Amino acid sequence: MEEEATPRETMVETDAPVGTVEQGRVAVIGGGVAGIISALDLVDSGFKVYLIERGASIGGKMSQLAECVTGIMPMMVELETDPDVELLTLSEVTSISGSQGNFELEVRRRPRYVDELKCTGCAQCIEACPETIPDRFNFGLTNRKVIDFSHSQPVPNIPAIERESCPPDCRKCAEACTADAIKLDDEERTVKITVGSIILSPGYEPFDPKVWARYKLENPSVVTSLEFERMLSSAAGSGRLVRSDGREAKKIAFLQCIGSRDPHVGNELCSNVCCMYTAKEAKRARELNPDLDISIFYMDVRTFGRDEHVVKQIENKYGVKYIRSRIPEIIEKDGELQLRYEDPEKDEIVDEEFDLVVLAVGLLPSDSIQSMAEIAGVELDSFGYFKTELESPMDTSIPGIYVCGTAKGPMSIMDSASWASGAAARAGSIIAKERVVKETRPIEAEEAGGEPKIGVFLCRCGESISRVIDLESLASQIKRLPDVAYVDASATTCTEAADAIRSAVKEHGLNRIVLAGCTPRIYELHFRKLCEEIGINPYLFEMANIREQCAWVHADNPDAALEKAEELIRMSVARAGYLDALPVKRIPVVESVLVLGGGITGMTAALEVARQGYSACIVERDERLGGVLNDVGVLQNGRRASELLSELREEIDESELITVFTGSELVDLTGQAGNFTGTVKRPESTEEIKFGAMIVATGAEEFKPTGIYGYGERPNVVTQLEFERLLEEGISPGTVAMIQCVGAMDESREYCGRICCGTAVKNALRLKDLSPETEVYVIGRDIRTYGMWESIYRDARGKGVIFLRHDANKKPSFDGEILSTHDMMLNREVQLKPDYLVLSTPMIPRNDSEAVAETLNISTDDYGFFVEEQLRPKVKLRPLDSASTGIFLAGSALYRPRMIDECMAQGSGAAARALTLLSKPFVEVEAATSVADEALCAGCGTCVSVCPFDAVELQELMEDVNTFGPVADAVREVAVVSDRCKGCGLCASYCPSDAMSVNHFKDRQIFAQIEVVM
Amino acid sequence: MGSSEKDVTTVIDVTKFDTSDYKSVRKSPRSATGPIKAWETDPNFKYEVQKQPGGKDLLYCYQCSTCTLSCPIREINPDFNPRKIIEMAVLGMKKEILESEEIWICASCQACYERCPQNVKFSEVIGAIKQVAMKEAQKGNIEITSKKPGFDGSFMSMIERFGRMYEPGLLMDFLLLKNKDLNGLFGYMPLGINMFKKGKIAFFPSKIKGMDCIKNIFEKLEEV
Amino acid sequence: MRFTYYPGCSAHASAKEYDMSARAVCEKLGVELIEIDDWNCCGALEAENPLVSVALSVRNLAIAEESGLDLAIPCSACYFNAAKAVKYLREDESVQKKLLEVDHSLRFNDTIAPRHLLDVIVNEVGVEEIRRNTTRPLSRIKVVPYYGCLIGRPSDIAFDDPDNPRSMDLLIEAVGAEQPSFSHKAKCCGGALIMTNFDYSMEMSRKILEDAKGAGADCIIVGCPVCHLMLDGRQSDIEAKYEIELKIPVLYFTQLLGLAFGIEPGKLGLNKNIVSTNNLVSMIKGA
Repeated sequence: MEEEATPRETMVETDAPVGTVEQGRVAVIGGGVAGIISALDLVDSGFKVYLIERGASIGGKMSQLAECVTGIMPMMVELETDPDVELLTLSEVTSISGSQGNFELEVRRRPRYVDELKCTGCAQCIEACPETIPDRFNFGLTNRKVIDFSHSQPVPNIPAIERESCPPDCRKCAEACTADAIKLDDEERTVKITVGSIILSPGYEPFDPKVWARYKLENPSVVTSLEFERMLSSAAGSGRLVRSDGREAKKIAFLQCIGSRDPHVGNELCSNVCCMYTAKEAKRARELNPDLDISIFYMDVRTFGRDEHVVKQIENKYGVKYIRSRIPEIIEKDGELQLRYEDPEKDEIVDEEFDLVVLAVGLLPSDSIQSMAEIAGVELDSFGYFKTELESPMDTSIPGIYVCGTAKGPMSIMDSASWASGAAARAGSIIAKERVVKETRPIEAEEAGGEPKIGVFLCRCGESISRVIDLESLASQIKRLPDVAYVDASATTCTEAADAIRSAVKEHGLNRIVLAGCTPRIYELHFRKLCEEIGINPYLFEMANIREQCAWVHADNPDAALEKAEELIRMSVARAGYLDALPVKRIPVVESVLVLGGGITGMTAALEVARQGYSACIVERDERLGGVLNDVGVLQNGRRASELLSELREEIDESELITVFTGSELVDLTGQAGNFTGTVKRPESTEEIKFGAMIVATGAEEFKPTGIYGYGERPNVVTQLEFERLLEEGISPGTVAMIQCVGAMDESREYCGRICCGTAVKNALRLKDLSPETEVYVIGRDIRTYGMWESIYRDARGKGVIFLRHDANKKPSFDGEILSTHDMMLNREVQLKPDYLVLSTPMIPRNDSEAVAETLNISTDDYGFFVEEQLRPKVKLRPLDSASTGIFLAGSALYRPRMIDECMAQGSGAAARALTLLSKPFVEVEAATSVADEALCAGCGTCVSVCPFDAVELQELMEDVNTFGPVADAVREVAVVSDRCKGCGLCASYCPSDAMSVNHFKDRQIFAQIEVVM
Repeated sequence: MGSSEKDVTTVIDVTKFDTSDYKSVRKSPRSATGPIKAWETDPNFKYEVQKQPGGKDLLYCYQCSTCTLSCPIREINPDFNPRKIIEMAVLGMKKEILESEEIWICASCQACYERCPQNVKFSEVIGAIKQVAMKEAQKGNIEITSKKPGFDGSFMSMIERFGRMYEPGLLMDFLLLKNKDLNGLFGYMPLGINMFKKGKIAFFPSKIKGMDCIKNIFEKLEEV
Repeated sequence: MRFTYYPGCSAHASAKEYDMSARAVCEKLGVELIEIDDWNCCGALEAENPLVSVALSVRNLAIAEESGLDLAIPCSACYFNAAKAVKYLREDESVQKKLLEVDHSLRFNDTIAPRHLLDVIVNEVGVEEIRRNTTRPLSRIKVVPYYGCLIGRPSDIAFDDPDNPRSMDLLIEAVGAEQPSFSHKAKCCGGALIMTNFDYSMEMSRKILEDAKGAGADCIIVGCPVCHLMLDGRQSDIEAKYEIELKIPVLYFTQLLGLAFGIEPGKLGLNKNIVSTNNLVSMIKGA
């Protein structure tokens, strides 16, 4: 078969339709994590994507941070190889015209000076280049050559030339290139593309604290958080944090809110992620070096979810000090750094010396947002981000153009991922009719006849493996192993490995593949798909982890590492010889989604599914749709919640694709992804519903703090939701006090409710608007109005709402008449006589969440919130996927309470995720599952009792039994494994008759591995 | 270090100084310790300060300590805490603030104005508070013990009379007439003589021609 | 180049040497200073009601505006008031209306700008010109620049960097003098409290003077009469109170420039500084 040039350029130039329907296209502008995830969700549901990135490689900020790049690499690699994705790097959009369904974009492609089709990534040109320049992708901290890769594992894996820095008349790179790929006279080109919808994801820019001379940035003891990340990476081996002047840092201070919450410097908003990343950096630092003395200077701590545990841990276990004081200046005294701060606990001003100060810099809108807004014609909000509404969080002011990630507002990677899926759903809905799903042939269990011919491929993994292990030497050892027909040690990246495998299989007739590289957790699926593509059964593929389990942990002993690597590969080769080709079962997908929960999240998810032409069934426990929002009066943007709800209810009523079951519950679930059967108990009947995917959006409810502060006894003590009702009725009291964290952040419930401060501030503002004379006090330990919500905190102060802080250990008290709180900032007690005492309580999981979790076989945390798939790194990048394939999670039921815009983004996002399943005609079931040998099975039922997934049951088997006489019919019970099996292996290990075994993990395969190294 | 300048200060340790001289504070807001009872405060005070020119951004304070940590007066007298003055104003502790000595010792160095992340502009806010204090004192509601308003008044009266400063007149008015401070006046003699010898004292005031305008400014704007 | 000139109340009295040296230096540099007619006091830092100081400044600005030339102001406090007045007018239309109700002459159309004299010298005349005119490089002396509060702060009104102002640093460099490191360059001298809480002012100025002395400076240069009064006029009081010896001359930056340009000390008013400048002048002349 002739190898065709990958059609990278052609898709752009021609408009030839593919198949009968012209496949819908989306332009995703910005190739960071948000752009990447949107693109993936779109191609996974049958659309084509142009991923337009102005840099030489996709990956954004994540690929600049050593810790993050491993997480996002598999997604980047997937995009590089997917034929439905066109990567337009070094490109910028210069004009957009048209309207939704039909946008025409002009894209200016800057010259790379390297031919993308010819380059092999050998890097000879880089070695030959005589000139070095500072590397702006590494914050100028290191140097690169004029021709170079933008970072160690770029996608595409092709270098680019910074042409202005070329020495005059130099042609050394061209001379060194063996593939004739250097094009020194390359020119800028403009290409035109037509798409149905557009996603804007240009990302953010970190704040540059150099504007303030008083932070003494030229001093080597002062670094930004990004520079500190790099110091942590360099310290990984020795545990010593070394400053740029060579001195070791032992006493570290983190300064929070640098460039955030600061209208004076031009950024009013909270950057959302700094408290979280500081806590993590502090933790990592302490873990590296237990001698470090760390202090964190903050104004409010805004960590939620898993990150709160980090704060508690570093405070209690590692002695990290949290001191509430903003520090406006770094003083240089006698060559040392001194910080002056006000310690409210001691009520005094302290001067203290530190040898390293880390500035936690905030997130600002990307410098490209302004021009992008002009080109696209979309509005910006007053903070410089693309303007969206609370109830349409991905929609810009132009229909058909959507936004996700930090271009919408400062947010974490997890939230960017949710928003990205949400944007994919929105963008897909425009071109829903132009979905084209590729045909693939089924995977048979055809044996690759004859003896095993194993191809072993060693990957350098950038340099992380080759730096420690001598791959040439390893390769020569591997060649001598039995059944090894071919060894290749040239690949530096997954893509190169894939290319090597592709060509070698053909050339050498290989029928088994061993890839020695990184962890199979990240790439096994990817390479199995590759095997499918080239005609090898995916279960004849084996990975040996010589990175995490060898090169990374034995970096200090290369000889031992080499020996271990050889053993690991030897084991894999032995196993490969015994691998079976397994058939992959295909289950036809039922094209409908069950949405469990009809609150704002569920309603949004159902509508999004329906907009793309699939049916959805909402199962809601209450009598009506709407959930908690039914009790809310006015939203943060002033709109009445009831109005939003009726709008959504109307749209649902009008949709022919959405069925609603109110007063109903899901009582049982069987089947698996693509083909579930749910038993729904309705008021009048019980029904069985078939569906392909489920979205769990059961939400949460307000905690009622009975007995606390007299709630339940005193009529003027109410919760926030109850207070909203009072506001509706119209009140004008003299004094209202709100107490935060009631029933949260303490022994009863350690988590932070996340949205309660925002809700309290919203209600305080509303009260001031309705009744300006009322004195409103909000009493809390922190005010956690994160991200864009910081602006309503400022508005509330401006209107005269009084915020009083107390220390975590000194909670306010109330005797029915007088409310007493210790004001930490004045160090004095303040007493109030409130007409209403409003208690801000956290949202808690619904009382049936544990039951639901059990029915669905998904996990909950200690409090009953559902948790997403735990496998790192996917936990951050697939926040809406549960551990059960086909079941997606969204909204306040997922892990922590959410604001409305987050709920709706997640609802849409979960719909996009569900559609990646539904858009395919079938689902392939994992073949590495258990299988029972009827002949050996004694029907004891042990496997049934140990199976955590209810995937095996005893069934009756009719048999002919020879009774040394007449042949009789007999019935005996044997174990039968269903499609719910996840291949965990418990049954196989417990089975007393050896009847149960796990495909792909048969005894002979495992023993082969063990024997070959004994 | 990046900079070529190396710090060689030989500053005397301030802590060795007896700062009790500087605690010219008799009614410090900080020294009270009992609970602040909200029903005894004046919730309207914060709006009153807001209405004075310069006071409008008082409420945006989020108690970060930037102003306090930047204040040179606080370095000398720890009782002067701009952040706490704002908090007390927001809590409506009108009498305590207006009668304190502290509000009169601001040196107008603008460090707080420059650094406040919320643009509260404390140096202007304290000016607003001082204006309220002067109004209240005029009404007889409070008693101001600090000499600063008197000095400001003397200074402004020179401008009102002549359109320009007249230093001898200022000294006479402030030291003699208002404070009967002969000692203080004599204390200026050495410097005064020195200045006189060098021709730096204007014996007679120079009155400007545009006094009508000045008159209007003082009548219509200066309410004190 | 031509500028209108606002001398300020101290120019003919306590800061006479500033006015003298400013005029002498500007003449040398070809900068014409046209004193505006019948100017009034700006209100300094004593007008607690900002509207009063705005009104007083607007009267001066209106007079200057008639000539169409920017207004050069030697005193930091006067400059602060004038620039603040312009800011108030720009940010709130009602202010201009209110001023017109007070008096019809209080109309400013924002066609000229108030400029600190230091700003004019450094940013309009330029450092190159200073270098060119330096006939007698001051390489034998060490000079530290003291900016005080209002040359750099607040940054929406002042013209130099709030944490590390450099305009006088550049002048010192241009005239060839040595410049030791001086961390108190922008710390407050306490001048506003000179009559009412002198003990504070003394403490604040003491820190500045001792830092300069400790850095080995032969003199301090300033750009404001209030700062000058504290550091120069009251230096002996500080010496007495703290029982220390300072004897460090404090010059206006224009006096330093004048010395570098070869203008005779008499014309620069160097005999009017309270702390004697004789030794310094001898050092410069090489005697």
